[in-house]
Amino acid sequence: MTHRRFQYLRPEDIRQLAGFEFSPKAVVEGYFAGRHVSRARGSSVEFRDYRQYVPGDDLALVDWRVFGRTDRFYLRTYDHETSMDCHLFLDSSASMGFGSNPSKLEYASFFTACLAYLVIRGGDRVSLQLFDKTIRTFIPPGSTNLHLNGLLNLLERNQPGERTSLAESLRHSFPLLKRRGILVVVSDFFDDPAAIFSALGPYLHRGFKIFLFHVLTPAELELDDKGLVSFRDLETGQRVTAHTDDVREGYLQAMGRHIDALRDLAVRRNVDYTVARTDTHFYRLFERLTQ
Amino acid sequence: MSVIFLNAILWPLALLVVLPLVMHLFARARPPIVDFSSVEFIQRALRFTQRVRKPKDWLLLILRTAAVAAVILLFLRPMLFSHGGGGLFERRNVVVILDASASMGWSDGSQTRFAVACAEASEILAGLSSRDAADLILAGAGPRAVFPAMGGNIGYLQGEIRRARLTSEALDPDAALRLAVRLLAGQEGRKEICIISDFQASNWRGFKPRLPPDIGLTCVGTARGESPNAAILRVEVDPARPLPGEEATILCDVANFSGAPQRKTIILAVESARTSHEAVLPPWGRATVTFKQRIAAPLSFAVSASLAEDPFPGDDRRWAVVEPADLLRVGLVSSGKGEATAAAWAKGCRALGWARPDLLTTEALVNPEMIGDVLLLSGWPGTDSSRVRGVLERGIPVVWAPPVGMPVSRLMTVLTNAAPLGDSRAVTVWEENPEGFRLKVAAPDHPVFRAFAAGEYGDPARGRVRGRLAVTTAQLPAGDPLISYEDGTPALWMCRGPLPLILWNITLEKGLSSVQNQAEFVPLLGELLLASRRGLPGSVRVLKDSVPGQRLTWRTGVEARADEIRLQGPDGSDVPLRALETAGGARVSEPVEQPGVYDWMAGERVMSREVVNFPAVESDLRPLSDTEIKGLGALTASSGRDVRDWQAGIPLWPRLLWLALILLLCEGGVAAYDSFRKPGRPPAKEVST
Repeated sequence: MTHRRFQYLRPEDIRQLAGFEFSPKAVVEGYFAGRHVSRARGSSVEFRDYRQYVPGDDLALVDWRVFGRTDRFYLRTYDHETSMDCHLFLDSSASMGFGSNPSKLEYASFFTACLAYLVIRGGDRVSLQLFDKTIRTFIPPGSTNLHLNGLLNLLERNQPGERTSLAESLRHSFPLLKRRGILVVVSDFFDDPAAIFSALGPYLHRGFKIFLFHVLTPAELELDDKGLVSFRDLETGQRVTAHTDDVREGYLQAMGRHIDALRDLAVRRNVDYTVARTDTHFYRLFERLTQ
Repeated sequence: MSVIFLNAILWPLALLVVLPLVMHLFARARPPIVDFSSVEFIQRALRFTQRVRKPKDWLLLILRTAAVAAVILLFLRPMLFSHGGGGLFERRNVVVILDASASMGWSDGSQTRFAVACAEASEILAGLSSRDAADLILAGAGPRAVFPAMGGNIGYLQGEIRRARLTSEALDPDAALRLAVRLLAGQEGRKEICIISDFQASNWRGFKPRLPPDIGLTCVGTARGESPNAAILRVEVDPARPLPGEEATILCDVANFSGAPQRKTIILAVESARTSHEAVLPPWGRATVTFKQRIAAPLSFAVSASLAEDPFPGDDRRWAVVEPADLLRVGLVSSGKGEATAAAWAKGCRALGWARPDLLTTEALVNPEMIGDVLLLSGWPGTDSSRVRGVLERGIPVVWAPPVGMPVSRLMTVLTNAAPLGDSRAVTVWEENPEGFRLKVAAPDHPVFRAFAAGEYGDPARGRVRGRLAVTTAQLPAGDPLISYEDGTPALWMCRGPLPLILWNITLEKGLSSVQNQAEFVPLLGELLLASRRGLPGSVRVLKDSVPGQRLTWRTGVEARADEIRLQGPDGSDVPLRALETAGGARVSEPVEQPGVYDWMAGERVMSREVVNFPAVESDLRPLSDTEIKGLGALTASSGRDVRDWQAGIPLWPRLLWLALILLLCEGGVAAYDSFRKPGRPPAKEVST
């Protein structure tokens, strides 16, 4: 473990995370033997099935008891347990800079850092991708403390960038992921829900287990009473003048419809979706991951 | 209505009315800038809320502007004036018309409408200043002005109001208004007429005042609430002049002027005798109660019908004078071959003893005094039918025996001018039967045959007739046969309708008929003469009936000299009389005030009696609606104080202050509306799938 004090992975976080274990029930594919079930058949203690012997098979795998009963050669096959790749996608668009103590980006960075720590502590590999309208940085999967240090350093240097284009970023990042595993997207999802899930389609088809964390501040969820103000969009700079009392009801309805659309699509595509309020502790999000 | 501003110098303050608009625009100019993650959802919300927000903004702006305007006007101290708008310094001429008609006697509670009206009139006059002129008109059947011209002695007018008495007269609103206009003509300054009345619908509905444009009209209504009433509207005697020994019918019409049924006892007083009947009156309905009274002697007597007392007693009693005739005067007109029948009639009348036949010519038919009580026409060919129709329209029964060869159409045209359908050239045809035609009673239940019902007087249809007019029922006016021939040909035909006409198709010529020789002929003729005067629908002759406020007139005859005639009222006091210059010494009374029986007397002898009854039009106490009163083209006020205030000017600042407060409250309510609106979708907590 590192001795340096990182902003997003504090010693008290490490102590708190001692009780957590990141082990989502996902079928993965990996190079190294590990704790996770792989689709590949391999050597382990978990029996899976019998299959008929074909020339070239290792004779050590032949079940001689079956041969004694049936006079035929059958091999015992076992599940191949492997290591897991966890791909963390962190939205770093300008809108993620909204909020204070913490901002959405800070909140998401805390969560991402802790999650990366948990993954590496579990012996699995973790990758990190920062994006806004396109991929800004991609760190391939790794499972060492050095790799974790690199991730944490990257998170600390990270600043809110430009406009969000989650769907575009997901499309571009798909070829970068060599193996299926866990995909964790942390974003404010200011994009078209249908486009987002269209971009997630290839991942789902390939067998990724996907977790979506929708990070929102209370101010975005409730629209604080500020009277007549001119709202300036953090991403586009566009200004809209309105009285919060006048638009609150409509705003909440529009926001509610957006969240409902994301949730409905998630249910249909068997994707795990969670709204993460920045005024709740990010530890609670791990509960979603470990269910 | 006009408005004067006492602080008109402050009019420049009116510019402040644009203050809310300026503030509105200024407040919207520079809102603070707030960074937000994405304005997309706010823009979506705006598209929805702006549809609601904009009208609300306009409403707020209007309310604020109106509130500021009300405050500014408040400081300008406006005063509201009624008609004319001459303001504070113009002379006013006010004529107060005080309704003193009988309906004002209704007590709405603790006081009568008239007492309320007097108080309101006094209140209006109290609002006049020393430079103003006024007059008071007490309105009844004839309006009476206190001053002959507009005067300034307001105190005297108020004293007259205190001394004013309610009358039993019907209101003549047109006469009162004409008098008021005459009083105001030529006056300088503002002219106003103020009517204080219950605006009884039966008097005022349909009335349109015609006033010069410079005269303002104000109406103050005094009718409050419901006014259930019952009244006797008519007392009549049938026949109008009964004969001694005859049983007369006294008809009393009772009306219920309320929305609830009433059970009333009607008491008929004849001299000292009293009879009573009960009647159930439907809501807003009428009933006719009949009393029988046998006439003992040919002396006139008064009858009165009364109801048990109700809150409006004036119309609960009504009088009639029964003037029996000593003889029934029968006018006889004969021509051509009708003389034999006329002679038989005359002979029969003389045999009766109580009927006196007078032979007349057709020229005499224009004079109802000469005709008498019944007219018998024999052989009259139907020419100049308007004369006979005139007789019928006066309620005098006519028995007509048409001649042979007369156009059949005249049977119809005597009752109506309308030409009958069918062949207009057809004439009445004579037909004979050597063996004689037999007669029969066709309507045995008719009053004509009531005396024959016991058989004491024999068979009224006895006798044979060898000749008759061959007429059919289709050729006759609508009616019913009393006696007919055995083959159905009408012999005695009672026409229906308001005109009492009886057609006689029984020849009484010697050698052709044996009817006139029968013992039953005289009683039949007598009963026919008596019954013809009775109870025919609509043919009851209405007795002469005066109402309070009218003048009674005595026409000098041979019985007494004009100078010894006096008129005695119901209370025994004499009514002042004066001689008519144009009528040869006739006497006319002052307008009579009290309902009852008035006696024209020469010394201590009663020469004639006249009845003055409560005017029936005053019994229905329902007032006009407020809309109808406004329809008179008048300003309506709820009280005399309102009128006085309008005359003196009403300061509007308290109302403006209230208006400003209400507007500000409304503005606050609209502004706070959003706070009370139902909250939107509850904020999302952690939503997950």
